[in-house]
Amino acid sequence: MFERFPNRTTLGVLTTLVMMLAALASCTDASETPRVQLSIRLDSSGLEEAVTTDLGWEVETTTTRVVLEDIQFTIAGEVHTSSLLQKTSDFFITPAHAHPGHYQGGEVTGVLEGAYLADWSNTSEPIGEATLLVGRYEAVNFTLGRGDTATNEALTSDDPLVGQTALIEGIARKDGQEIAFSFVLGAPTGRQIIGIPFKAEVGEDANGKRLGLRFLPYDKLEEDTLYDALDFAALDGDGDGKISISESSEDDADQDAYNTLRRTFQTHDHFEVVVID
Amino acid sequence: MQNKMLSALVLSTGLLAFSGCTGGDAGEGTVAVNTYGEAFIEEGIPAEEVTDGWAVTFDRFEVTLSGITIGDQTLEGPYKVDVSGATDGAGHSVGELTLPAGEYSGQDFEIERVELSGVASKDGVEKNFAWTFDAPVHYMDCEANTVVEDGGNASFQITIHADHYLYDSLVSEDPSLVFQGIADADADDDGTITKEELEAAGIGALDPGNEEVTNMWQWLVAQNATLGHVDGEGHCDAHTHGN
Repeated sequence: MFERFPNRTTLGVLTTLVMMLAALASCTDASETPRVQLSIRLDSSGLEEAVTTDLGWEVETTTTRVVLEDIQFTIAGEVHTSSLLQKTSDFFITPAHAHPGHYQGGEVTGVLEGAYLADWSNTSEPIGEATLLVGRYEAVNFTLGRGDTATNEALTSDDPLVGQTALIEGIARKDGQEIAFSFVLGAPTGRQIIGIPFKAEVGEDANGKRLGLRFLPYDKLEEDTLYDALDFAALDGDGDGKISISESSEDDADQDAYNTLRRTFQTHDHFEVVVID
Repeated sequence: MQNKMLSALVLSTGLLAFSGCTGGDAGEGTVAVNTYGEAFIEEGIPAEEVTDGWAVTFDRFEVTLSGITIGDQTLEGPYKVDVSGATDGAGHSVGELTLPAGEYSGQDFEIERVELSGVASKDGVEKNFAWTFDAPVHYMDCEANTVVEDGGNASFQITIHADHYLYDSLVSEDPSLVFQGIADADADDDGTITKEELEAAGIGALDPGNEEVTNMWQWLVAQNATLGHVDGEGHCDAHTHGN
C-alpha cells in the first residue's frame, strides 16, 4: 500500500499532515451513537410487602394508578460528541443552563413520549417502547399528568383519575385498628419527577430488552416510607375505618395529610427503573 | 517541489490547528459590574402579582457579593450593596474589570449573605419581617454574553430576583407567587414573622421537589439560593455552602 508514496520524506510529511488535520478536527466526532429500543413495563415487586411507617402503622398498598407522560432517560454529565447533537437533535434535549435550584439530573438521551396510565395492579402489558442512545444511564424523569378520557382509553368518565394524577389505596393497621384509605392526588401542571434511579449500561446488545418501572412505598436508601407522618386514626374522624382524601378535602387535617402525601409522592424517592432482562 | 508544497500545507495546517479557538492580540476594554434588584425590590412586589393578594415591600435588601469573575479577572470583594434604593433601572455599581477584547460567558460570582427587611400587607393586615440568609451561594457558568471591545466599556449585571422568596415551587418552570404560608407562620400574631416562627411552620402545599424541605424557614433558605441571575434573566448553576 505504500507504493503510491515513493519516499520516506513524503510519507512522513503526509503522516504529519493527517495528524494535524486530526488535531484540527478534535472538536468534532463523526461517529453516530447507536440507538436501541427497550420495552418499558411496570414492576410491582416493591408492593409485595407491607411497610411500617414512622408512626408504627403497617401499610399495605393495594392500588397505585398514576397518569404519567413523556418518560426521559438521562446519562450523567455532558455528551462530548458534537455530531451527536446534530444527528439526534430530534430527541436529544440539551438543557440550557439550569434555573438556579430548578435543575437536577443529566442529559436526556432516551425518551418514551406520550401519555400513559400506569396501573401497578395490572402489569401484564408494556407501557411502550423507549428509544435510547447507547450509554451509561443514571436516571429517569417523567411528567405527572392529569387523567383525560380523550387521550387515555383506559379511563372512563367516572374514573377517579379523570382530572387527577394518582390514586393510591390500601389498608393501614396498628394496634388492632384497620383503616382502609384512598388518596387521590393532583400534581401541578407539567410537574416532572426528576432523577429516578436508573443505573444501567445500555449497549448495542440491549435492543429488545425490558425495563421495569417500580413504585416503592419503602425507600430503602433513606429508610422511610411514602406514608410517614400520616396518622391514619386521627384522619378517620367518624371512626368508620375508612379514609378518603383528595385535593378538594376541606378539613385542615385532611389537607395537611394530602399535602404531606403528595409532597412525598412527587419526589424521586419512591420510584426506580431496573433492567428486567 | 511536491515535498515543498506538502511542507507548506503542513505548516499552515499546523498553525491553524494549534491556534485553536483563541483570538490574537485585539487590545482590551473594561467591564463595569453592577447589581440590581429590579422593580420588585426597589418598588416592591404588587398585590396583583401575588396569587393570594399580598403586597410586599422592602426597606432594606443588602447583598454581599464576592468572587465576581469574568474570563480570568476577578473582583474579589466582599461588596455589601443595599439594592433596595431606587436607581431607575441603573443598578448599583460594584466595580470594574479590565479584560482582553473578546466575548466572555460562564461568569462566576458568590452571594455570601442576604439581609433584608420589609413588610407584607393585605386587607389592612401587616406582617413585618427582618431575615438574614448567611449561607453563601456560589453561582457559576452563568449564561450572559459579555462583549469586550478594544477601548470599549462593557457592562455585567448581577440581578437579584426577590420574588423567588414567594415562589410556590422549587421545581416548576412557571411558579406562582404566594405569601399566605409565610404570613400564617406568624403564630403569635404580633405582626412580625420571625425565623423561629418560620422554623415551626410546615410548608403546606408548597412543592419542594426532591429537596428535604419541611418548614418555612428551610423553604426560604432554599429559595434564597436561587436569587442570583445575570444581565436580567440569565441563569447560572448554583450551589450552597453550608446551611
